[in-house]
Amino acid sequence: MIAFRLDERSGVPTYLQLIEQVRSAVRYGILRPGDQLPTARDVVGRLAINPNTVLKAYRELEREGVVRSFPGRGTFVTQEAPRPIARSIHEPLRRSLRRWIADARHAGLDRQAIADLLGLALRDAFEEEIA
Amino acid sequence: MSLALEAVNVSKRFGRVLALNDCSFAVPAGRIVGLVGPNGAGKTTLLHIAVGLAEPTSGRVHVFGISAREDVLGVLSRVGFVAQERPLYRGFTVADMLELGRRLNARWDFAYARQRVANAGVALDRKIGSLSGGERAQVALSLALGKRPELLLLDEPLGGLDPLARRSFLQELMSTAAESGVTVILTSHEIAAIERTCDYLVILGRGRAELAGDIDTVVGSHVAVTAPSRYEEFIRTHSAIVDTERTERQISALVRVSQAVDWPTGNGLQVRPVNLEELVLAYLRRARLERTTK
Amino acid sequence: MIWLTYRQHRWEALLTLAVIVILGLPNLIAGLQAPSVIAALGIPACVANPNFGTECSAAFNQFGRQFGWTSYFSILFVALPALVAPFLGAPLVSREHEFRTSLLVWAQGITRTRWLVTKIVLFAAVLAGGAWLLAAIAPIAAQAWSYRPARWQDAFEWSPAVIVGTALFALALGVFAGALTRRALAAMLIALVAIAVARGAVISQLRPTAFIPPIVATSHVGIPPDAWVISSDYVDANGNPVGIDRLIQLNNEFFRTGSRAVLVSSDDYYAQNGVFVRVKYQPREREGQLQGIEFTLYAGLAVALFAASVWLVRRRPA
Repeated sequence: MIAFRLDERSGVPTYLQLIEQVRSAVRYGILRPGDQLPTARDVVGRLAINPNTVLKAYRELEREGVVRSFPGRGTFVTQEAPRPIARSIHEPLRRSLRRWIADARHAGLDRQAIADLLGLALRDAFEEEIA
Repeated sequence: MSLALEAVNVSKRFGRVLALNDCSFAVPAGRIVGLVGPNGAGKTTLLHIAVGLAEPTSGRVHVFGISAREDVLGVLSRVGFVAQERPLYRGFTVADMLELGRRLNARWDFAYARQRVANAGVALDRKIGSLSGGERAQVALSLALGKRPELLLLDEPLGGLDPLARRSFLQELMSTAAESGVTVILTSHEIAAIERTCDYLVILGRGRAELAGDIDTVVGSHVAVTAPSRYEEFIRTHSAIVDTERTERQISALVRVSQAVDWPTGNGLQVRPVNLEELVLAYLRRARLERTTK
Repeated sequence: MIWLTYRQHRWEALLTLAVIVILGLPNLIAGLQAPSVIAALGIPACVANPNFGTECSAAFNQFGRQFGWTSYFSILFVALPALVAPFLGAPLVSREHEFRTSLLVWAQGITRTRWLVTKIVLFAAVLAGGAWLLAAIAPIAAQAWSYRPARWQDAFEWSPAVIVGTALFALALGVFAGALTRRALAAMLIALVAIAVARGAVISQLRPTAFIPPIVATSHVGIPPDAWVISSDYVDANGNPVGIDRLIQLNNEFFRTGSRAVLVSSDDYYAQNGVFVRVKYQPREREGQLQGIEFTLYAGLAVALFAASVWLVRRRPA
C-alpha cells in the first residue's frame, strides 16, 4: 500500500501527481502486481481532495493497464504493469549520481544550484532528442 | 446529465444596489463546485435565493428542477445549507442541535449525524458556546448532513478556521462526498483549497456568472500569451482576451481559446498554460475594471 | 417546533413565572391578612367619620407600617406590559437576526410562517395564563395596598380583561418591533416607548371618554356615589368655561350673603348667577362593558400586530 503526498506548489495538477506517484512506485518495485491501491475514499479522507480527482487518476492508470478496478473489492496493480527497473540497473546509476553530487558540493554548489543544474541537463538531453 | 442547481436570469435588487444582475449558470449533479467572486458579487445572495431565504427580484433558481419560490419545503428537504459564520444556538448542547434537526426535518438520519459528530471528536453534551471554530464547523456540517441532502450549500465554510481545522473540515467533507455522492457548492476566497477540492468552477463578478464549467476544461481552454505589441491584433482575432497588461512594447494577456490556435511562436511570442489562481484572478480583475469604468 | 420553542425559551418562561410568584406571593399573603388587621385597628369607623381623631391617625400609621411595602408591588402589577414588550416580545425575532440563527432555523424543513406562528401561539398562551393568574391574585393583593376599599375605576387596571389584554398587546408590540428593526436593543426601546404611549393614551383618553361617551350632569346632586367622576368644571349658559376669578368671587358672595340659609347648595347659587356645574362621569354599570371594549381593542391590536410580524418575516429576505 502506498501513501500519496501532494506538492501544492509544483503547479502539477493533482491527478497527475497521483498518477506519477503510482507509476514511480511500480517502477521502483514499491508496488507489485496484485498489490491494492488505497480506496478513493481513503485517499480523499487523507488528502482532503476532490473524489473525482482520485477516480480520474485511477481511471487513467487503468487505461494505461497499470491497475485494474474490481467493483466492490478495490483497485489492484495488474500483472501487465511495467516490470520494475531491476535493482542491478538502478543501483549503480544511483551510486554514480551520488558521486557526481559529492563532486558538485565539493565545487561549492548548494542544493538548489545542483537541482537547477540537473534540471538544465535533463532539458538539454530531452529537447535535443525532440529536435 | 441532471442539474443540481440552475440559475436562470436571476436578478436581485437591494434598494439601489443590484446584487445579482441577470445571472445564469448551471451546476451538474455529483460535482463539487467552487463559487468564487469578490465580496459583494452576490454569492451569498444566490445561495439564499436557492434555499428560499431570499426571493429574487426576477428570474429563478431551480434546485433539482424545483424553485424555492414555488415549493420551499420541497427544496429544503433535499438541500443542506450552512450559512456564513455557521450560526448555531450558543446555549444549546451539541445534542440539542441535532435534536433540533430531528424535530424540524421530515427526513432526518439521527444516527448518521451523531456518528459524524463523534468522528469529529465533539462530545454530545458540550455547549455550542464552548466549541472551537473547527468544532462548530463540524457540528454545523453534521446538522446540514443529517437530512441526507442531495445538495449541500456551504457559504464560506473555511472562514475563520485555522489551517489544521480547515484541513480536517475538508477531509470530512471530501469523505462524505466520496461516500454519498452529494453535490457540494461552496463559496471561498481560498483558491488553493478550491483547486484541491473542487472539480467545477463558477466565477461571479458584477452579479453575473463570468465563467462556469469543469475546472480542468476551463483551465485547459485558457493560456497566457506574452508578445511584442504588434501581435495584439493577432491575439484579438484568435482568442478572447480576459485580462491584459501592456507596456510600451509588450502585451501580456490571459486569453480564452475556443479551438486550437497555431501561435506564431519564436518571434518573441510565448504561450504557456495557466493555473487556476491566475485564471480566477484574471476574471476578477476584469470584473472589477468593468465595474469601475461603468 | 414546540420542542424548539421550549428549549430556546424555557428560562424566559421560568423567569416570567418566577417574577409573578416572587411579586405575587408575599403580596397575596399580605392581602389575605389585611382585612382582619383593618377590622382590628378599627379603621372602617375612622374612614366613615371625616373628622377622625388622633387614635385614627395612629391606626392609619400602623396600617402603613405593616402594609406600606405592598405599594411597590402594586406598581409592578400594573407595569407588567412594560416588562413583557421589551423583554419577551422584542427579542423573539430580532435576536435570531442578530445571531444570524434565522439562517439556520429557516433552512431546516419548516416554513418561516410555521416557525413564527408556533412561537407566537406558545408565547401568547403561556403569557395569557400567567397574566390571568396575576389578575386572579390582584384583587386579594389589593386589599393591602390601601386601608380604603379600592374603587372600581382603580380596580379596573388590574381586572383580568386589562391585565391579559395588555400583556398580549405588549407581546405583539415587542414582536413586531423586533421583526421591523431586527435589532434587539432598538426593538426593546421602541417597544417600551410604544407600550408607554399606548397605555397612557388608553388610560387618560380612551377609557374615560372615548369608548363610551361619559354622562354629563349639570348638578352634583343625583350622581351615584360609586360613579367614576372624570371631570367637573363650571360653564356659562353657552357652555364656555368660567374663569377662576369669577368662581372665587361667586363663592365669596355665597358665604357673605348667607345664601346658605336659603339655598340648598353653592351650585344653586352659581346657577342663579348664570354659572353652571358640568360633571362628566361613568356609572358603575358600565364597568363590564368598558372592560369588554378595552380587551377587544388590545386583543384586536395584538392580532393585527402578530399578523404584520408574520408578514414581515415572510416577505423580507433573511
